[in-house]
Amino acid sequence: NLLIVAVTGAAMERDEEGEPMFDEEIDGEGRLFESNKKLSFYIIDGAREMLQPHGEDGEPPFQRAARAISEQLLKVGCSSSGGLHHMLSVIVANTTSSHPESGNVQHFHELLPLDFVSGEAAVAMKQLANAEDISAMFADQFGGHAISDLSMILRYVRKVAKRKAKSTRHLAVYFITANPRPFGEGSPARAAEIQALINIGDLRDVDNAEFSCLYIGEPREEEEMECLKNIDPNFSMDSFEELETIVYQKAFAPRPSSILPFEITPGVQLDVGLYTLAAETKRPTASWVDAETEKSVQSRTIYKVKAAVPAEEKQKDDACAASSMDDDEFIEKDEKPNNSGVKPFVIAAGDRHRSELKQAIQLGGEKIVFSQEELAKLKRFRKGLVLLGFKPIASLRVDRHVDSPKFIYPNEKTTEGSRKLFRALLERCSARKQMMVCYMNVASHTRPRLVTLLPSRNSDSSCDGFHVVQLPLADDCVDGSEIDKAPKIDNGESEEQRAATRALVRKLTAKFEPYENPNLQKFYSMLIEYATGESSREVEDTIKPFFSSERALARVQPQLEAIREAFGDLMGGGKTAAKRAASAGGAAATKRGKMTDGDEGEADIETVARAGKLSSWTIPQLKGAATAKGISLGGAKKKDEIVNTIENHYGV
Amino acid sequence: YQMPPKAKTLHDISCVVVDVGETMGGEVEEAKHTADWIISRKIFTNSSDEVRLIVTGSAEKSEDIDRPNVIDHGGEFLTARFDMLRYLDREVKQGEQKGTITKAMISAIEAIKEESDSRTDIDGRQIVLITNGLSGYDASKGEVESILGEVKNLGIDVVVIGINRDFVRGGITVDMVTRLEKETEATVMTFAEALNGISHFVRPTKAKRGTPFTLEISPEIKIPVKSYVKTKHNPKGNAVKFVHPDGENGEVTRERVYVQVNEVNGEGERRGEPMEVDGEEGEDKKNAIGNGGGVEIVQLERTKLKKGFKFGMTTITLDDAELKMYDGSEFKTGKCLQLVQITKKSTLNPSHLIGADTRIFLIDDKASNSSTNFFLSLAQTCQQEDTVLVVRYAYSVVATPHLLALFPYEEESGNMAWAGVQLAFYEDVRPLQFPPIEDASSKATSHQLKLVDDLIDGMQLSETDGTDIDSEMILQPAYQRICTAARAKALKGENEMDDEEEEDGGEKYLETLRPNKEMLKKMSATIEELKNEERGFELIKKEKLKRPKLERVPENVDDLLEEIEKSKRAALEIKPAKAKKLPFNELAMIMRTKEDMYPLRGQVETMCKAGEDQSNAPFFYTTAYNMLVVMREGSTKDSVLMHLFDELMDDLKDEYPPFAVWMTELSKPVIPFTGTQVDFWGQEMKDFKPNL
Repeated sequence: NLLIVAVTGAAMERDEEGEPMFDEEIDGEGRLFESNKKLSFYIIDGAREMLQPHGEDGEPPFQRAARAISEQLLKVGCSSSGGLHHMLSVIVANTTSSHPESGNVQHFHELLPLDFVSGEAAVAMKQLANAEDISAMFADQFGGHAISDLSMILRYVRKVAKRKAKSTRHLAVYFITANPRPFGEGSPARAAEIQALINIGDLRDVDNAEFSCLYIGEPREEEEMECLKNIDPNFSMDSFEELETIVYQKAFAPRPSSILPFEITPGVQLDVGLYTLAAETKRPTASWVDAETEKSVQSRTIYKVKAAVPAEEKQKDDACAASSMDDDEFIEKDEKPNNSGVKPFVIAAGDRHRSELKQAIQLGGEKIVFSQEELAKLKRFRKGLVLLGFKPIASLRVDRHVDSPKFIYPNEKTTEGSRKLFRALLERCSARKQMMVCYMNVASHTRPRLVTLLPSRNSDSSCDGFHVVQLPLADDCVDGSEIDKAPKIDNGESEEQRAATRALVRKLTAKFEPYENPNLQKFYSMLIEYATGESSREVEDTIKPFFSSERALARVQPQLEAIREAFGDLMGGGKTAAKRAASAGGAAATKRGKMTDGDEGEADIETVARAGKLSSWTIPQLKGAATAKGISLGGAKKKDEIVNTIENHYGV
Repeated sequence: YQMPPKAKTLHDISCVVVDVGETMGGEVEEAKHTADWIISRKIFTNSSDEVRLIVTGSAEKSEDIDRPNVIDHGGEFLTARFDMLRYLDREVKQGEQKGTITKAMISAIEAIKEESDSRTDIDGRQIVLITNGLSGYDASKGEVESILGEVKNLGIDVVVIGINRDFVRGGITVDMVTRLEKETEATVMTFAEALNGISHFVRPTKAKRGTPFTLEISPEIKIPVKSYVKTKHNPKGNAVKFVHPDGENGEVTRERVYVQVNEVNGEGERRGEPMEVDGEEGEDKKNAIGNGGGVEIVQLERTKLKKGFKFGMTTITLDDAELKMYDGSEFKTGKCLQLVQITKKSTLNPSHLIGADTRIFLIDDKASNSSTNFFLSLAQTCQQEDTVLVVRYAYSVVATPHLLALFPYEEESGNMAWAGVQLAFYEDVRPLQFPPIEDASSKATSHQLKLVDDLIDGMQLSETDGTDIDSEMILQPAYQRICTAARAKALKGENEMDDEEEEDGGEKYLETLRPNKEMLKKMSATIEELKNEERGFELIKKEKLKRPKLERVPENVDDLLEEIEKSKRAALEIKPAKAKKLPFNELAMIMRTKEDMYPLRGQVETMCKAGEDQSNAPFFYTTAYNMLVVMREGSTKDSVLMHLFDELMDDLKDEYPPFAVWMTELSKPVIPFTGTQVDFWGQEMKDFKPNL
């Protein structure tokens, strides 16, 4: 009977998946406001086996699990510094005591109730992970071992999850055990397993959650894992190690930053969601607190007229929040010398908020003033994607990269049939190595761009779609006249040289995986230290050159030798360049005096003169070089005259 | 440390000679237009070049007895300014006599000569002559000779705009121009040719010198290179500054102030935590607090503050000295370009190239031969092997290093070079997982795939048939638009903007970013097939459902619902159902299924939503309350309904916190059937507030 209720309950909720459209608030810019929360539940088996030390280090699995979770928790805490999005809960199963005390909780202990990470939670987890006598601590905290019902825990988990976050995007439940038969033997165990399976099914199908079983016990044969494989079809023996070694990545729901209409031809229009697959993560901006009281302080930016505002004007202000209290005493106090660093906040008559300002362009000797609304109107352009044509992918240039690419994926919710057309385009473009050149404007207030859509197909189909690569407009191309001045160099590469270079390149070629950002990691280490009181964490500089490791250098030593043999000395350039290279490679960017050019003597002055660039030299340089070359400057005193004389000398 | 004095910059001087005489006929507008663009461009590039406008043949006459038909506007060389444009636009009118080109040219030459004699900072000298070549029969041979002589003597570049040789063959002006062209390499073009090249705004740019770097391949292989920024995302245009909104529009300085808002009671004592309010919101809060107290806003000095960061919900605070320990300065190892690894280009995900700009690296022209050879060899090999260098890169001593992917490529000069783009760090990558796109429902028929193939074939952009789109030739429409508006505003001399500008949504600036019309015409058959609902692709745009907005508050609940229903229908353009509509209360009592409950639920939510926006919240909340009471009663008959009702309660509590707060104040709030019965509305709120 119970089983039927559970099944019907599940079916009903599933019906509700057919969400009504107005559940998604689409604002003017087409952004979808949906919850982006991730919930993770770690259920640690508290059975006796978990406290038996095993393995090389003789560490009880319970403690190892606690440490792994503790690490995860720290990473979640650090990555949430920009905003809260990930809730965690840790539950210890099979305990004598029950917590919290309620009829729904029997023989399991909610060690960390589902919530965003906090310093206290991290400390609590750490204490468990670093306990010297885990058995004693376990007995003390959880009363001892008993047998709990996994299905009951899962029901509890589902309920808690639903209550805390209604529209969760990720729900993950991890069950960590050292027991290949967590339900025991015999028919009661079989019944418990069936109950648990029903609940796991509900988790997966109704709540769209992940359920993973992580084994942490003695190494065993695959066949003995039947039971765990039953409850987790993706079960693998090394899944726990994965948890330990996995580097936490901030969870992002595949949520489009914008939904764009994509016009293939007039009258043929699908909808695509625009996604960001990578964006620079910076250290979060700090908030301000009063150093003494630790109370929060807000920072505001006010704009003052550049000339100093007379002091008395500060008094006759009525627009400001503080003085509108008509409390003259405050102003009097203000005039007394103030040593506390605290004074009433007064906005002077001329001070304005940013939104109140106007904007001006100084041009042609005049100031052209716009209101912010006028400028906003001028920035408005049609939003969307429009196909302009196709080009072979090979025509994309590497030296004209502008801004980080975006990604598009069809949005069936707003236009039915989008997926089909999108897939057809993707298949054909990918097969024919074609890219689509399009007009794109991601929102009505952004600048229109020219982009090209590169087909992307992955082996696991998890990221099929088009990369949106921006093309450089005329405005983005920097004046390249200096670059174009470089003369064509003949590359008389010998066979020996070519072979040496190729050998080195091949030896150093490896698969690229993104590196951790040492600067951010350092910041995280600070957060952890201050939040949990942990002593200093070592942060490694992950992006050191390969040759900073002696082993890596030794590995390519033969190839490097071959290069030096084939090419000769490769320590910097000849002539002054060596000097320059040394200073450039050093710590300080030294001032590059123009004298370096002058030092180069007569050969150089001629080239400079022929290039018509003499005027960039100083008069002493010109004179010095001319004298060295034996050019008579006559009565020339002004730079123009000197330059002319030298140029005449060379017949320029 | 004091910056050394700047070297004197050289600049060009140019005379713009415009013929607006009778012989210009209808072309006078084009002439003015051309002159306008020449000056406008100088204005908008903040050019230091100096201009002098000379007009001949206008209705206005000069006081100069020798050359009454030549007006030297301003009488001096000045950097380009709007005055000149206004003069051209408003005061220069076509005269009844023809212009005297030779006299105007002599004026221009005299001006240039005079300027050259008195100044030393002049680089180039230029005369732009704008005429159709029909005027000027009154010139003497001697005058033309002297013009030619001086042009050669002073090294003046002459550009003549407006002479169309197909129509105008003879005349003294044309003869002069022809001789100038032959003897001094003067440029001659038509109005169309000139306007095509200059009738757009360009950004103030400057060719940047290369920055030296050393590409370190190993401790013993260090190659001197030079680096240039080649592509820059959204480069700066003319700086738009904030100015004060008062009459003078004076410049403003930014000042950061640190304030704390404390709630104070009647005696001025602070109580509780500082409030999180900002700007105008603070104003509202203050009013809300009412009698016997208020808020006190105090300003704190920066030195008395610490910085706060979040570890989950925990805030940690540090002062500047503590923070400095973690600034990552140990990773700042100076300016560098050091090899970290080499990788196959194919293993780089395009989305990992997160740099905004492209910086290129060329071999330093001062490098030794061996270094040059190795540099080129490395680039060539990597290109052949399709590999990319991954290097540690820091622009300066103070810069935090990051990774750069160096792509080998061939420069326009034919030399091998590297293009560097910033690579994403692990923390920057968002591991998004999309549902596989290939499923049964998205499978296209072979006919549909053929249509897509036809589209690819038909819409190929190629240089050979002139359909190619060279993005580097396309101007950023937003920049053109804002410059046009600024120019228009300056010319009008008042702070008004064209209404036209506002209306058209910038469409006229998007000309270059539209599909080729000819191409679409050729493709019309394919397009029709694509649109065909059965054989092509059926695309159904779904209408957005909007939450209804209420304009007035009706007397009773059923009227209100009627109103909401109406506006919903209006949004959907659905005709009202014929069946008689039952009032809410009755519907609530007879509901049996989820389908019955859902619309009622929606109505409750509408009420809660309405209460948030409007001042008469109590009205809406009371309505919602009454609805919930009835719905609860109606739900008791079925466990499914009870479950749904509890869900509704949970959702209301989460989504409409003000409503929940309002509920807590009731003596008999509506409570769910299961779960926390006591203080359902209040208890959870306390948990929730600080996190949000």
